[in-house]
Amino acid sequence: MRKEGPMIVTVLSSLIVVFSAHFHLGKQLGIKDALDGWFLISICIALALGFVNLTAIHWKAIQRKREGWIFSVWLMIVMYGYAVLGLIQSHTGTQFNWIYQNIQAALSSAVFSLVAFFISSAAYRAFRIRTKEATVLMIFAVFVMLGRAPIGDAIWGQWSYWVNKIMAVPNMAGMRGILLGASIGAFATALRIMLGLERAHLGGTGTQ
Amino acid sequence: MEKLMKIDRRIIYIIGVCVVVFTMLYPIGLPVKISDLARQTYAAVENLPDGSLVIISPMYDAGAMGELHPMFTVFFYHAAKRGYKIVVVNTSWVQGPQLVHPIAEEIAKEFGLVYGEDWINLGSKPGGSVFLQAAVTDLWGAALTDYTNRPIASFPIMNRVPKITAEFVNACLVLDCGTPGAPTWLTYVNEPENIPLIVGEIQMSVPENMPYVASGQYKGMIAGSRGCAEYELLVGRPGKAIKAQDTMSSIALLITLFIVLGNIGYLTTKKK
Repeated sequence: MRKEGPMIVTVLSSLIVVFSAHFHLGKQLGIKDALDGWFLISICIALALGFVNLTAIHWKAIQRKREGWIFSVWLMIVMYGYAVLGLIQSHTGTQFNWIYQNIQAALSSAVFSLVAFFISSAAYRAFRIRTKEATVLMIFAVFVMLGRAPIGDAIWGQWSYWVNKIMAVPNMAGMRGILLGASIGAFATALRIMLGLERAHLGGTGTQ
Repeated sequence: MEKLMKIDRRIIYIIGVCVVVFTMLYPIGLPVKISDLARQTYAAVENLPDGSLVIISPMYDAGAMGELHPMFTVFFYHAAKRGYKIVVVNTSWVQGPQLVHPIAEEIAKEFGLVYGEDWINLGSKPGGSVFLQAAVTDLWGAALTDYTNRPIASFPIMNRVPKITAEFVNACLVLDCGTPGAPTWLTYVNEPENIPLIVGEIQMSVPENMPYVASGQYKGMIAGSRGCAEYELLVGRPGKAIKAQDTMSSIALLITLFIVLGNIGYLTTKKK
């Protein structure tokens, strides 16, 4: 029953959601609204579970003095310290908000901004005209990149016009194909889960 | 020539930093041409009826704020300038409403908007698509409290919007950098309820969102930092996006230069 139980719950829940969302009687009964409420509560429980799990993993690392255990100590101090501060002040508290805006936000932003440098280096290495296809790819990449910045129009007045054309026609055609394919794939996966054929979410190899 | 193919990445990083810092300190001020898409987006917000109520949803975290903060600023400014009532709310991206709150407060102060009457920040709500579906039938029940944990029923502005339907909401302005994002709003709120959806996307997400613009499902889209710079010009408030354009130009030129050098090295080595 370790696998059958969750599978039965999955199939039943999905059937109830389909019935509630697409049938008039189902909408009137409002079962989906109740399920939505359960879902929101489950998310909060999952967050608490994550907190406990993280504590367990790093507590063990500290106890056994694994490599880099000092970072586990720091993580525990920050996690519990900030949580306690949040509980005392709430998220609108002066100190809580200051830390959030000036440390958390600044660090996240800094990490993301590093992408610009990685892309510079990666583009330099990747865009080599080894084949005809690679040449076309490189030409379009450089053309669009320059055209999305004002320098493109400074070089040639029509640059951004043609970039917009590229974005609106060939790019969009390709993206539509990808979106349609992904949507059909998602639908097929949902159907497989509902029929109990896809079991990846229960662990193991995932398919029957 | 072979050396051109093997430039150390640290050299690229150092030159990149120098170029970014230099152009930020000494901007060239290259002109920004306004695209049709930016005009369409501006018109979609500008032409909403007087006294409209709009939802602005900052569906992002600190990682994307470099590109999306200026978009939030310009959307909030434009809505405030037009005298619309503004509800700020998002789902799943917990950092968004907290990050944008100071910006909203500053603009609200500039226009003399009163919190709870003219605008409100409902904060970030868990649940993603489930929250959005719940908000369509009962926003009060789904959101419960505002950003400061006060019951939303105590704010006059919320009397105007018991649920997110076309009857109460004139447009949703969604800024996103991932999932859940604008397509989630489109699926669960804007398509079923027939509410205009106008979005702001980071440059990386623009290609995948173009089909929604062409199909008319998005009434407008701010396409990356460049699109935001164009919108800033249209709304008459040059801000951070305009300032970033010279840096974008210089880094794009630098990347192009390195690509050309790498290929010169590759071609000459290949001939040998």
